[in-house]
Amino acid sequence: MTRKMMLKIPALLLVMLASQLALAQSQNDQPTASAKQVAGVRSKDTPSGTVVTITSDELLSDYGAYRNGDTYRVLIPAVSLALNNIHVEGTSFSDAKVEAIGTNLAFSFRLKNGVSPSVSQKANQLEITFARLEVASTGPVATTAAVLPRREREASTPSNQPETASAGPTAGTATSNSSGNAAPSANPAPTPSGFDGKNIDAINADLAVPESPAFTVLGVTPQTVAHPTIPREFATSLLNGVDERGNFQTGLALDFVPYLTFFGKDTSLFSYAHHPMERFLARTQISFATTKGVTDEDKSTRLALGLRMTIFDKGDPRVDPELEKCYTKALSHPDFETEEFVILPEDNDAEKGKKLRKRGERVAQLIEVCDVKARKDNWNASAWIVGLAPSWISKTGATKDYVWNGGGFWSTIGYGFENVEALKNNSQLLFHVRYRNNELVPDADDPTLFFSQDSLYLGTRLRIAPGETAKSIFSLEGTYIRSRKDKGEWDNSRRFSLGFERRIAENIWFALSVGGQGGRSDGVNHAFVLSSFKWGFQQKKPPPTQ
Amino acid sequence: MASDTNISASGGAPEVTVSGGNLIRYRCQFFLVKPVGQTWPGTNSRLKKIHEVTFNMEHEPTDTFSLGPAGALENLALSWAIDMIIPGGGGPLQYFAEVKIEQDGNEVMNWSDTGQITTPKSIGDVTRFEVEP
Repeated sequence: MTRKMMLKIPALLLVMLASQLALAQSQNDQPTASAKQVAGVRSKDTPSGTVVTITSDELLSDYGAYRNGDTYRVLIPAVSLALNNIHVEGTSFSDAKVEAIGTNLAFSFRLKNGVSPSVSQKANQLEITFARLEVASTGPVATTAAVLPRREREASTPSNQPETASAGPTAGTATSNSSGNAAPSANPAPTPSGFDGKNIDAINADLAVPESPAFTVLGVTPQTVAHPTIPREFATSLLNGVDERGNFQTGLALDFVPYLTFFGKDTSLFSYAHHPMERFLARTQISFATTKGVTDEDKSTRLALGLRMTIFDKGDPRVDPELEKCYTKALSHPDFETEEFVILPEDNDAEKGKKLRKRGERVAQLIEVCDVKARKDNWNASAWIVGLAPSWISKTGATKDYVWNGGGFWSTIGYGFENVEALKNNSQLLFHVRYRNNELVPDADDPTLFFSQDSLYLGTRLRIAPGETAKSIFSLEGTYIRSRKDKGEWDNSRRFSLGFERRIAENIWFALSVGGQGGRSDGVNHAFVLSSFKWGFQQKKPPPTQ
Repeated sequence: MASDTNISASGGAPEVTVSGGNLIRYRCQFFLVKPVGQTWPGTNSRLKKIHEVTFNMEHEPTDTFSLGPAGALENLALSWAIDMIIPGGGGPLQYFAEVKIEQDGNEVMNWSDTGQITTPKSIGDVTRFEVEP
């Protein structure tokens, strides 16, 4: 990469910042959209599954959908239900529900085995397709659709009981066994504080699994500049790609938070908020990573232990007063004080378990908007992390050949533009420093040869989540690298990359980085492509509530 | 159901203590429940919420409240529901919750529940009062 290109990078950063400012300004200038209404919900069984069509009285601008276990949820922001009762049935799902959550509507469907859901938008309609993976037969198509007219609203059930649609004009018999009653809650949830319901897709802004510290010291994270996030109790990272020296690598990292693992029961949110040391320990992550060259020429295997400490984090949801307010408001729903959700002395174990499950699901529904808003608000908060990691290498790949491979130290400070109105919700600027010594590096030309390398990285990275709906995060990164081989002369070079991060499913994130290097005196200026999947995982399935 | 709670009508006011652990938000609600067919005066409900507390960043994870005169608890039951949330989502985390009732310093009922939580979850139980003269 040439010096001329280097000069262009700051200009690019400025252009991206300016465009974000302009975008934010234009969004602020737009008048608030008037409330839309869902005017119709119809379902139709087809030979390959079931199609549910949701029709709004205006053009739909946004929706979100996700699957959690056997439940599929479609969320539509800033709409209300113009219907008194709706009745949706299908052979591909059961237990369909619609729920008013603040200013949003949430449609949920319990999927039957072998059904794959998807959703598409066509003007003022959302079409939810439930495709059976194996179609047993092509029997008669059953169509069910029942929309009771608005005038029947006055004859609805008592205010603390959910309304249930009577059997509407149903055709066919294919859905006769499904329990597909869908009814709007008679007690709409209170609107959690401050959430305007516009950003259901903001759930995609949760890029919360941190980069593995051990991967960071091995130099195989997709971006050079590590971004600060709160570590999860357990997380794993998988790596496949070409490292910064042009060697193809595959690897695995396991991360955990020892304090929460061993002393979690003795902590509380109160002590976490009031004791800085406890906060520090609960945010300290240890990781173990291994990478391996996958070509015949590069058989080396590297190991690293990583320690990652968070000095401060303004986006920590555990001490977020706005999130706490939102939870309090959401859970003030009167449902929780009715016999439907409270255990009575005459309830048997089955009834008790059913009530508690239902109550937990209700809690989850009501607080969902709070978590979505918190993720959107906090993804770019100011924070400071420090990491250090020793590493080992086996040039042959054999376990007996592991030798000391030096260690590394790094630190990243993130600034979330909290005081800049136009940028505080969509941008983050990171500054990163990393020092790595005695690293045994395979020669790109002859991977059977290794040399010792010391390196210093100074980098900056701008992360931007464009637009109101932060589906993805783009980043632009520039790094100054000072390195030397075998304690010789220092060599100065630069690296630039464009990055892309996107949450592709619950707890799973994809990160990609494309870039190049310039200025090396040995002329080894590789372009590189790195990608990784990251996910948080669960130790074991929680036991059922007794 | 939790075991019955035996208390003495001539004893002091029973006290309920609830506690929880880990980086989890606990919202605890307590209800006095009338027998089937009876409702609380001025309401159409068998339930009367007598206490609510949330263990969060502003409240320590333990709380104690009084049930009032023991004699007034005859034919009633105490029901509790604890709603647990991991702030911001995530997990898994190990939860731990305990409810106990004491009268005059003696423990007359103890209930606890522990397990793992990844998504919001509710736990709870109910105990009948057996009031001895």
